[in-house]
Parts: sequence; structure tokens; C-alpha cells
Amino acid sequence: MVEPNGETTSVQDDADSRPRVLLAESIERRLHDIESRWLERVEQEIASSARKVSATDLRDAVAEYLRRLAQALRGGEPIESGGASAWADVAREHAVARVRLGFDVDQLIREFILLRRVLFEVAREERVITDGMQSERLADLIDAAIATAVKSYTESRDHAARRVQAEHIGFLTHELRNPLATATLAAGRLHRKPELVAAESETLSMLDRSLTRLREHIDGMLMSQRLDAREMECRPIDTRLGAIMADATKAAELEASQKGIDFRVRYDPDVELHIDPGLTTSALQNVVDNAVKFTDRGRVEVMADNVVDKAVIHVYDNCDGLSGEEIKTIFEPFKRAHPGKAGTGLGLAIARRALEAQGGEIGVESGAGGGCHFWLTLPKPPH
Amino acid sequence: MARILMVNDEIDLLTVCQSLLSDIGHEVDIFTSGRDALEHARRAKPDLIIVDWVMPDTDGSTVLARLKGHPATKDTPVLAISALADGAMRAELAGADRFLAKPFDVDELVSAVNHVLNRRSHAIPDSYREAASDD
Repeated sequence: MVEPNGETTSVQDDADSRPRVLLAESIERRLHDIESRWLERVEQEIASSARKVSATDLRDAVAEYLRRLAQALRGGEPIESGGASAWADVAREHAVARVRLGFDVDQLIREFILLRRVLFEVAREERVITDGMQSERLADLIDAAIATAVKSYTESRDHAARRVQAEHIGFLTHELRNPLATATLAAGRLHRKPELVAAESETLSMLDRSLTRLREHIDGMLMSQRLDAREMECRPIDTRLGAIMADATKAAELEASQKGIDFRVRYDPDVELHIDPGLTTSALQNVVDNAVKFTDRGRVEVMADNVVDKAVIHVYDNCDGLSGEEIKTIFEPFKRAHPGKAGTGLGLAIARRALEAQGGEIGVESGAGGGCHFWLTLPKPPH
Repeated sequence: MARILMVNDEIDLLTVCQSLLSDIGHEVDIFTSGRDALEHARRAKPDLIIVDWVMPDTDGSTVLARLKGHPATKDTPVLAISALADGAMRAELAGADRFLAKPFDVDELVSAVNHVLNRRSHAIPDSYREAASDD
């Protein structure tokens, strides 16, 4: 695997490349010696302070790293940390493995320093370091590897920390639902005592409002955690528009009649679709609920278009309208165009994720005079 | 009036559901252990069993499988409750007649109980049947 490619890849000056090739050759020849000397010191100076780690785990990719290092010594290409070179890949993998073993960043750097020491010892014994030039290149290569390893280490550690945090949030919100269920039912029972409702109606409404807000926050946290973790599972089946429309518009219709808004739904229930019914219902419901929530007078209209390869559902409302800036960010999590209204700011983000997961799309346009037009595309069965 | 058996590891939730369902004329036996509940179900043959999907000793899917596997309880309607997001899919595929997500309010509880008691055969949405046969 190691080709003496110093002459071909770069170097103008043979006198300059020759000592580096000698250094590379001695690293390859003494590879196992370097590895065991290094391992001995790591066990003495580093591993003893960390938790018990086996020699196999410690040795990890050191031999491979040394081989790649020798290759890089032969080549004359510029050294950058975090570059795409083979030795940088090994340094990167090594760092990720060290995160798993529970090394801290200080231990990671000390490992490389010990390796540098052993390499220089061997180079001196082999008498291949005669002036500053080659040793400088060796030192530069190791320093660049340290920089790459530290960068990967930090990224990998942050990623692991985020995952643990998401798991904690998931666990906590899940656990919160149990006492919340009990509290909601207990409050519901109080509502069934007429003498109590008469005497404490304000107290009871306060209790209800707080429980509702708690429920919204918990649902929102769980949903955003699932969006982050990209857990949304999609199982498309062949179905018809009629199977989802009623469920998706039921709540909005009720809300609209309570608000005194004109609510119209027009569609052909027999339009064939290839969708995940649960995800699609939840996406459409979020959009229609939003339309009613932000329309205080006028009408909300839902209608379906049947195009060749897809169905398009249009939702028109009489909200105050959206600015160009709001249109750009409205499908991102926690972006709420109207902060005065209740909600978690997740509905449209969830809708977009739910539609995209099954090959659909969502978009919005808004005129200067107010009112929004949301459209959702749903895939049809492939005939 | 129906005889209902409810099993859940949260004693407060059990107690408040027992009070609420008793208020509207049902008779409710409560259990905090899946094993005890199964034993009681075989003897008492309740009209409805309400089971929590996540419990420490015997979880909802195990309780459901044992109910369906025993001649005395195989036809007893089951209402599953869970705080898990995908609990609905899992419970209905496992053969529960209806699923209720935590937290739920009094009306949701009462309507789910009535639904299962009255119209058992229509409880599983077609979408879930199709999803199940897809697998």
C-alpha cells in the first residue's frame, strides 16, 4: 500500500525529499516498536488516570495512522489541519473512538505528544534526522493531526451531549404527562359539582387554562424533540381523499362556528392518494386549524384540486397577512407570525416535515391586503 | 352500568378515573399490577378493561396478549391508554379496541369508554388495518 511516491507527487528538489523518505521508511520498518513504546507510555501516563481501558481499545488506529503519516512524509503537499488527507481521516476516527472511551481533550492531546516523542526517539536512533527540515515536517504533520483530532473530538462530544439532552427531554416530558393526566381528570371532576362551579368558577377556569397551557407546552416539547431526532416514521398506503378530510377539518369547523367565521370545504372524496394517513391528517389539520385561529372575521375555505400526478389542497383564510420575511421563516420551528396568539410555534414546521417525509410539499402566499393561501401537495399511487 | 377493570401503575390516576366512572354509574375495580389484574379479569369477567401501555411489572402489550389468549377474556373489549406518541398505532395493532393518549380530559375518557362499550366492531380505523396488512 505504500508507494515511494515522493519523486512523482511533488518535489522539485531531491535533496530536500530524500531525508523525508528515509524518515518515512524508518517509521514503516519500526512501526510495531513505535506502537508498543507509545502504548507503554500511554498506559503509564494517561490510561491510568482514565477508567480502565483495554490495550486493544487504546491501540485503536495507531498503526494505521503511522502508515498514513509515513505516506504523508513522502508526499510534499501542504499540511492543513482538518484536511481531506488520509492521515487526517485516521486522526478524525481516532478522536471519535476516544470520545467513546471517555477520554478528555487533554488526554487526547497528550497521546499525540507521547507519539511525537517516540517518533523523534526512533528517528534519532535511526539517524534519519540530520537537520531541521525533515523534523519540522514531522512535527507539523503531528500538530495538524492534533488540531484535526481535537476538532473531531469536540464535534463528536457535542453531538453525544445533544443526544443525551434530547433523551432527557423526551423522558421528562413523557413523565410529565402522567401527573398532568391525573390533574386534568381531577379538575374535570370538580366541574361536575354544580355548587362548586357556582362558587369558584373563576378559580376553576384558572386551573383549566393552566392545565391547557401545560399540555400545549409538553406536546410542543415532545414534538420538537422528535423533529430534531428526525424520528418521524412514514408508512404510505393507497387511500382516498375522503379518508382524511373529515378528521383533518373537524376541529377547525367547530372552532370556526364558535368564532362566527364562514367555513367551507369542497373536495372529491374519491381522489386516490398514496400517503401516510396519520401524517397527512396531522399536517392538514395543523394548516386548517391555523387558518381559523388567525382569521377573526370573514371566511376560511378548503378545496382540493386533482392534478395528473398529485392532489393539491388549497386553504384560503382572511388572516392579517404575512410579510415577505414571515413567509420565508413560517415553516421553521418556533417561528410565530402572530405572537399574541396561543400555540407552540411548531404546527407548520410539523406539517412541512410530515408532508416532505412522504414526497409532498407545502407552500404559502400572502397578498398585501391580508389573507393567506396555503397549498399542500399529496402524492398519488404510482400507476 | 358496566363493570370495568382498570390497571395502571399510577394510583392517583386510577383513583380519579374510578371516581369519575363511578359518578356516571359504572362499577370500577382498580389494580396497580398487570398480573393481579389478569387474574381478576379471568374470574370476574368485566365488560371492559382499561390498560396502561407502559407499566413496570407487566406492560400493556403483554396484558393484551394474555387477555386475548385466554378463553375467559378473549372477547373482552380493551381500551389502552398511554403517554407514548406512537402508542395508538402499537396498541391498535396489538388488538386494543381503542386508544386514549395521556393526558386526556373527562369527556375524552367518558366518550372512549362509551365508544368501546357500544360500538366495538367499528373501533379500529381502516387506515390502521391497511397499514397492518401492508407489513
